[in-house]
Amino acid sequence: MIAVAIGFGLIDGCPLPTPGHVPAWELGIVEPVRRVRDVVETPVAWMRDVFYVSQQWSLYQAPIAERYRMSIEGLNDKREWQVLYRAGDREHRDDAALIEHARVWGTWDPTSDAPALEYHAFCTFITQRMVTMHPELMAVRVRQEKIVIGQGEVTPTGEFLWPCSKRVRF
Amino acid sequence: MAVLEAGAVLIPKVGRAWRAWVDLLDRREPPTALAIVRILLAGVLLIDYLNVWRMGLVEAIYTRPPVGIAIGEAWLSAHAGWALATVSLALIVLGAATRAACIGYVVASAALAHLTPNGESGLDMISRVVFVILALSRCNARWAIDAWLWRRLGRDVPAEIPAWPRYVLMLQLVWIYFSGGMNKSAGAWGPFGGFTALANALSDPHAARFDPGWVGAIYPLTRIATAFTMAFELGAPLFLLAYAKRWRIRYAWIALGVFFELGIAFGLRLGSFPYGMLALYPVLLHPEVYERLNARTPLKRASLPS
Repeated sequence: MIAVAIGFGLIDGCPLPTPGHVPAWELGIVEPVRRVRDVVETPVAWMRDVFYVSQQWSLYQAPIAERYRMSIEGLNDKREWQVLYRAGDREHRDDAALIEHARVWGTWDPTSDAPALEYHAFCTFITQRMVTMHPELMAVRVRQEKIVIGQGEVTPTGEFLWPCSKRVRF
Repeated sequence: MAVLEAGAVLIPKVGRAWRAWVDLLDRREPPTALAIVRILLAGVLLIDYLNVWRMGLVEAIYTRPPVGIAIGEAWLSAHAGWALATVSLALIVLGAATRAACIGYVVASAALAHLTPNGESGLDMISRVVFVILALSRCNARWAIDAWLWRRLGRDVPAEIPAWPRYVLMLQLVWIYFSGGMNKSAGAWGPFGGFTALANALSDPHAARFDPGWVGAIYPLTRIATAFTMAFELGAPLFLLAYAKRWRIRYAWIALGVFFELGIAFGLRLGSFPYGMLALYPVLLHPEVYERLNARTPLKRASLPS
């Protein structure tokens, strides 16, 4: 039984690229291997879904230089956007304890090219919370700015992705 | 004919290998390492769960918008999942109804993972695997209310327990690092990307604990550390060989792992993850190490003849 469990674990942990991220030249090898793995895993596949476990560990997989920086801004009565929170910014720390909590961080931190699954839920939640904290604001928005990291420096690009906002009044 | 000859050679070899495997899994040892892992890992997670409650985040993390940021559905509500996980962890630390508590924690943790998949770190997934293995072990034979109760009821408390759960946990820990190394696909982890991964991580405003300015001052060191990290992770299977052969180099691998996890804890805001990983390290030591340490405690020294 122990040998069988270890065997299934090793099969599950077979290092295959995520579907959709396979280089063209690897497709002919990776996809057949993936199909075989899925067939072999059939008797235990339910465990992965029910208990949310896997033996493919991807711990800090891709700390690349092109990253993002989230900011939360509020529209004041002068119709100017003021920064309420910005990641890694000591001057703008509204609700930082919650936003940066280790169990919240993963819900707004994007992967290399996509927002987290919970990103829109997080935006709905945090904009509502900011509006409650700052009733004087007319709107709140959340954005992710593309940045480039190099030798201990962070360079903003001015390009913002995945904006979402909550308008309180016009 | 050739097939028959090959079979005649192979079958006894497979038989011997199987007997060696069965002998390995039949070994017994003191429960010290598994008891320490039980207490430390459950303790780290218990502090984590209590911190979520202290900050008033149970609803925020595990309820759907606009109240919270959850996106999924599960068989337990936010508060029920959190309460079951927390009570189970407290019982595991105390070693009370340990097996039931381990399963209770796994069920609750999985439910919370369904509600907010990215509300958990790798440590939560690791803990769901580890506590199932601990539930199958006799980790409650030492430093546990279960063991105290058995003694009071006149039942035997084993001085030695099956060693296989520790072996499986050791394999699990080694696999986590090795698999993590293999899945580090970004060029920044390798020579073609200039081993810049750690510098990037330590400068990332989303994850870094400090302003990135200091990273520039130690930039070459971060590149060396990145190379060491990859060597540590991809070299993890060699630890098993060193462990089996009792080569002293195994302590170098363990020390590298400790530095690696402490470095993560220092430089990045990853919550309880590095502490939880370190909580598993006691399974990497031979049982004699604990016996030697035990013999050095002041109480034991006093009882030794001078």
